[in-house]
Amino acid sequence: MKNIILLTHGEFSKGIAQSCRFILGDVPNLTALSITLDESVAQTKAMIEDAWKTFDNSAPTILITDIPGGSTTQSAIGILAEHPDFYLISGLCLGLLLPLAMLELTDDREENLAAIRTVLEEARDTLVLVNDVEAADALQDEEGEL
Amino acid sequence: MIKVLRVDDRLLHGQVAVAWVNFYKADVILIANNQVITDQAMQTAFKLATPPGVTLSMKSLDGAVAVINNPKHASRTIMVVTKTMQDAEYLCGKTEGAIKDILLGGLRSGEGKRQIDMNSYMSEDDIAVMNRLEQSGRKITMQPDPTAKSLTCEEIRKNFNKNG
Repeated sequence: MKNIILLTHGEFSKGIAQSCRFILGDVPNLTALSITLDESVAQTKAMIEDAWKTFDNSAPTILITDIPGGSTTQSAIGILAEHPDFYLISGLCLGLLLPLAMLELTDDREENLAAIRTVLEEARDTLVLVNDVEAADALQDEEGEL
Repeated sequence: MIKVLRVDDRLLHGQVAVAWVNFYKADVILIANNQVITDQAMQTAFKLATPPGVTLSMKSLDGAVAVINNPKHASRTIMVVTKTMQDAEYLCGKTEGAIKDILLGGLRSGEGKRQIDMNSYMSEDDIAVMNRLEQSGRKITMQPDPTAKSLTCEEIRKNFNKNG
């Protein structure tokens, strides 16, 4: 059991949440927040706080923002003061969100941090210039090898 | 061991490569398709779709039969994917009881096909194949993703007859 809060500039968070459910089906405890030009950092922090309150507050919470250098992340960093147990990640994309949505977290924070680091490492590899990807080597077909 | 055979006309795509592979904890994806072995675009796409830590094996139908019948892979958790019911039956026919679970989903509409589930359609021949595979003792269900409702053969036949 875990909570995921997405925080992005504009409606990206809602779109990517829909894409995530398109692939995985129902994803419980995933919520999408958007900031507009009008919100202050304090208002955004309050919005995250309100979203979190609707969840099971004993479960670990992952907060994901779109870009590190944006007010989404600034607000999110601010909330770490009250919620040092949050896992805060920046760089939202579907190749990152899908494995995070499937990740099982425990109540061991060190273990969770290590698991999230591994997911991030693998998610980096989902940024691909497809032109550079070579087709598989000549396929060995009839020999019963994988 | 063969954990499951997925029949999906897009073969390896998001729902299969991400959701089902994770659900079954598969460590091998075996794509059984006579076109894939010569189609480099398909090969590139499937290679990109394979999650980290999972082995991708792309074979012709006979090539896949050889893999399934090779006892060397008994310790692996293999998810086989075919494009059609007919290909699934071909594999089942040549691998004795190795394939016990068949999961249908992502069967696009076409000539003579009737709607079974939100995104899946089957022809009369597809149903006949399903019935034969069911009679041979295999478990067959239809489910697009792991959280969606799973349909039994009985429900699949019912929907087929209803939409005739």
